[in-house]
Amino acid sequence: MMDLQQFASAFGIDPTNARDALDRKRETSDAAAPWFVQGLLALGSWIAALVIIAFGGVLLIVVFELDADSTFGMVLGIMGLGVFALGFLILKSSTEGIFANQFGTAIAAAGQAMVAIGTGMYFDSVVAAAVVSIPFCVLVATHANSRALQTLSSASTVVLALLALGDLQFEFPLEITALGVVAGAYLTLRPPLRDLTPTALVLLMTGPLAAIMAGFLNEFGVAYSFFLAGWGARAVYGALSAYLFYTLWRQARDQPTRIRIALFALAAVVLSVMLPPGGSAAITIIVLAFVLGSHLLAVLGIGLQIYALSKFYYDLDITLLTKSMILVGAGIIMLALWAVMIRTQPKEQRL
Amino acid sequence: MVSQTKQDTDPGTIAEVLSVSQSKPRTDTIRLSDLNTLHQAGLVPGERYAEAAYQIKDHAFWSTWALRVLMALGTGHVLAGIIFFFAFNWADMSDFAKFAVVQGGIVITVLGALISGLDRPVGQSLLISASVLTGVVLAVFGQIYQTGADAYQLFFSWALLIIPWVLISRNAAHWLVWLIVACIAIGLYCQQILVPLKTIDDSETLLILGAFLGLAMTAREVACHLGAAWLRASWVRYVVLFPALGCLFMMAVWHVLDFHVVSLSTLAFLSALSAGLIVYRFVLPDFGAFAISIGFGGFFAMALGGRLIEDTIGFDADHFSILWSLAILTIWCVTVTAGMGRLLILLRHRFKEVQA
Repeated sequence: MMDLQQFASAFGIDPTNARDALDRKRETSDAAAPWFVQGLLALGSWIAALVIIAFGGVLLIVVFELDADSTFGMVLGIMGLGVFALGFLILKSSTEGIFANQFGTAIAAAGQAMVAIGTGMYFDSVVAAAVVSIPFCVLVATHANSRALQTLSSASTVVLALLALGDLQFEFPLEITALGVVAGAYLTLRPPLRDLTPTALVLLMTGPLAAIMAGFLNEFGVAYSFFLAGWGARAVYGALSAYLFYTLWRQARDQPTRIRIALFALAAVVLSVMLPPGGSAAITIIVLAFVLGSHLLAVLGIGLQIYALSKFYYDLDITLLTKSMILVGAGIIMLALWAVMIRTQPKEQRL
Repeated sequence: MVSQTKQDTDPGTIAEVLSVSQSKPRTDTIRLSDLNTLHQAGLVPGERYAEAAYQIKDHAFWSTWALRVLMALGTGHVLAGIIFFFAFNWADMSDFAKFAVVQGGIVITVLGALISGLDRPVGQSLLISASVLTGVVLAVFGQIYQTGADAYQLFFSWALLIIPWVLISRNAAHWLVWLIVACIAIGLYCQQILVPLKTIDDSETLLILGAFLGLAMTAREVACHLGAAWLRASWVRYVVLFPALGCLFMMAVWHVLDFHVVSLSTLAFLSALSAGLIVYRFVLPDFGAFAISIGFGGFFAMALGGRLIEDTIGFDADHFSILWSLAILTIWCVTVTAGMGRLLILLRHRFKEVQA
């Protein structure tokens, strides 16, 4: 741990500038409403936004007498464009109002969804819906000052992209989602000046999200079993975990610590290969949480690992006996590593 | 221990603690959120972000965290593997072996709890596991002997059998496990007995569940008042209050929107809502609980507005009245939401003043 003075001198920053930036942020945080009040207002804003969308839909059906065909899709898309622009303008013009912020977010997100659905209907293609979402996602990430909108925009684009992969019967969808996790990790480790944390988080969740969607769609009888392979994805997760530990290894100064980090890296790689892709992705997120010291990623990673375990039971490709052996093996590796770490723990616990 | 003392003296709220902690003067120690602020201010370049994160990390904390996660995940995977193994062989196991496995688990967890001590989290967690395994024993019993009993009897028995453990463990999470089991028992009793006998309507199950959770909420407040410190954590209040009001809210909204006519449900919801607003504003000031009540009140007002619009203008597509109705409904929803926000922000300062 470091104090501001030490940090400023280590990174060549003027301590006064750093203090000013932190104080400004603190003032903004103090003035902001608590998260649950914001959540409540977000819910209210969403209800209002949904009524507006219903209004638009009814306008199309009743006044313009449009049926659910390609013309309807085109008009819905154009209307969505207007709704998105309205939401965007509300966000741009309001810097402090909590309700206006949530309302603008809800309206803009609904607008993007309308454009995607309208385009999908017009071309009768989920790929078209995914493609048209990308510029909106980029626009939001680069110009909107709403983390909630950035999360919704990038999440909906990722979901559509996954559906498009399924629609195209792409052979290696899990590998693509694993590359999404790599992109998310890159944005987290080397963030650009603009705050892209929500996009990075969504990308990090892409791998597990694919597994969730695969299960969900299977329940509706859609053949998504090819999602459950993913040896390439496991290799990507293993390599990413190894790289993350390498960044720690580079900064460690003493040999015993480096050996401990190497052992961790080895275990992470072996576990990534052993476990199903969802579990491997979760292990990678846990490793990233550890490398950066991020509590949020730690909670997400552990939650995903528990979820992956519960989903593993329903995987029909292998028997319960094989699954049992994989899990016991993975558990023994983790416990063995734990025992080694406990025995070799230096006085200064620094990994 | 420190946090427990804080909870004992001040039931407080998570929300207040969170919001107050933001305004506390902080030490100069840099955290990850501070690093993000410095990075976005252009003071730390992106290529040095990971290095900076490493430098400011609380290494002692994260080393301990890593070891605990390794132990927990390792144990979890081994246990899951063992469960999968038994699941694989379950059909071939003798009845005796099935009982031995589950009851052996109960004996081990209870002994472990006694050895660890019921005042420690490990002991309490083991006793919670024993309570869960009790339900598994009852399920195995039903599976082997095919007793023909209704499912609600299993859950009632389960809830009754674990009461002593819940009381001696003095753990809020354990009490919540019991509450969930009891709610399932009541829900199943309504569905399997009262509904077929036409004593109640299908949807009235929610009303009964809401009333039961309201009773549980009242019992929790009284117990805290009488000195049950283990129930005082404010999250326990939120976890019970939210579904209690939620069940009554759903019934009331169905009534208002004319999906279901049980006039008692609106009365029950409004009574519970009024009680929540008065108690958590004046008797036991708690901004989080008050905000939950306000939220349900606001959404109920939206539904009420919808009903009024339907009765006056209507949602008739043939006469274009639907467009007017939707436009007015939009304005009403926006007004209610903005009003809720304004009220909560205003009252937040009042609550802070009361706490101060």
